[in-house]
Amino acid sequence: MNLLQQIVNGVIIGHAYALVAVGWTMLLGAARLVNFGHGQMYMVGAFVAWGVMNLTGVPYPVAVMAAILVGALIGAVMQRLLMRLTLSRDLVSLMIVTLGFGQMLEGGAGLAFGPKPQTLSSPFQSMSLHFGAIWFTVQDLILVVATIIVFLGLRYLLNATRFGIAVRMVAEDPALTRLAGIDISRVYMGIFAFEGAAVAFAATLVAPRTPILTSMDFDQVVMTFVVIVLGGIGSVAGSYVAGLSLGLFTALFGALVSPAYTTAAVFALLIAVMALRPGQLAASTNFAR
Amino acid sequence: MSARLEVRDLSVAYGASRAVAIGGLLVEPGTLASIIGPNGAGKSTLVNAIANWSRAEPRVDGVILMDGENIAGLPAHQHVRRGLQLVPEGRGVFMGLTVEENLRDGAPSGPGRRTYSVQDVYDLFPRLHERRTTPGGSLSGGERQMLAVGRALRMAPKALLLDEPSIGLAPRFVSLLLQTVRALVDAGLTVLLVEQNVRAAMEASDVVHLLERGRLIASGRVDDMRNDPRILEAYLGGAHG
Repeated sequence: MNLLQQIVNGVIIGHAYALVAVGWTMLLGAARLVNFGHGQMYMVGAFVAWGVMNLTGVPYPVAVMAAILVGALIGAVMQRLLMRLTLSRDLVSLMIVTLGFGQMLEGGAGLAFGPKPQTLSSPFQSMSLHFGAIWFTVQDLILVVATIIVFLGLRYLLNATRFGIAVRMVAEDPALTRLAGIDISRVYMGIFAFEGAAVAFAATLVAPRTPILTSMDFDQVVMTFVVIVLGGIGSVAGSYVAGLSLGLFTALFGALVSPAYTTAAVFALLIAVMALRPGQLAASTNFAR
Repeated sequence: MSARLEVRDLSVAYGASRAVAIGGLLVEPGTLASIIGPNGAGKSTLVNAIANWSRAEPRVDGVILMDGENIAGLPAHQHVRRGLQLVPEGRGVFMGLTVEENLRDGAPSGPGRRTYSVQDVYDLFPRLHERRTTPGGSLSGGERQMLAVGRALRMAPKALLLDEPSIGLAPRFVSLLLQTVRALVDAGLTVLLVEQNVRAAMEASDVVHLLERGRLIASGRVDDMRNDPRILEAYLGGAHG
């Protein structure tokens, strides 16, 4: 077994976890909202890119842009539909409604794209780079670099832009934010659109690694949830570190112990973390750091 | 000249219980009016209702005129954009944002609206300049109130509603804050102040309104109200106080 190769794999998977989680992290950190339709939004992102490529024959990067736009639109529509619940932060209702929203997306995608597994083909998936005993694809490299850019960009957005400061204000005290002359429903819409766009972007970069199915949402929700909890609910930097750690953990556990028990081991880790630091489930006000 | 702010037939209710019922209240441009009264009289409920803002969900009916335009029922952020700015009681700053970030957003000036730059706010409250990189959560109570007023000024208000700015402050901060507010009024700002500290409020105000059990029971120029037996006895430690 090549330990170095396993570390490289772990870094790649870890960045995938982090990128898939970044939208939900923002949603949770900034708006204190949950979205159990996250996995289906991931699935829709991958299928939109696949569908656009197959229907129009446009190259992969154009399909990525299309998926991001559709993702942002789905997020914005979701916010409009859930307006009253988002403004009152009615968490239990939101969990159930977003779960239902996700089921609708899954049903719609099943009708539109069919039940068969498909392949989102990226030209970069077949290009590989070799360095001695280790190797990875250009797609992997793009994924890692894009993830780093997204996290740095989000950090900049939250700390140095007008919209980002409005997001942090809404995160801390939505009522007081109104007194700054800000229409908070528009801030929430921006946050949901970001969540939709980010998860669709993640899907287009991650999905070429494996076949895609309209019923593939569950694993994504589970892993995203683990990343968010480990990262300290809603912390941007925390999610990056947690995604990377989880990627390394799954790669090394799979290689050193057994790939069959990786998911179980991740859950054991999650339970241990939640038992040891339950206070972390309360979102911090410093999520932008 | 019409009043800067006029309230007519305002009623505020939480569920079935009516908290405030006001027939009429005027605030003239460039004056400082105070609302005084005992705890639970509905002072905060009243100013929150004028701004159509609340952390609870009261039912508000009535007419609120700002320079003659009825703004009742508009969302709170629209009041701010029209120049009616509330500084709420208690939490008026963002704890997770630094002083600088708290002051960053400002409204553009408009007719009859003075724009206060960040530097103007620092000139008014030099202490905030010293603390500009400190998060709101690490400021003292007095510094937070200065920052809350500074944030409000950045919105270029025509009328400022100040809800208990002196609560929990050391006496020297109370007089410093009210002196600053008075100076702003002398420079043209219109202020409606809610204040528990009646003596301090009387010193800074032009007009005083006495609110008890949700109703205005006396209103007048500060010099007349000073000798009003209801205020003298209950609030200024008169013969029977």
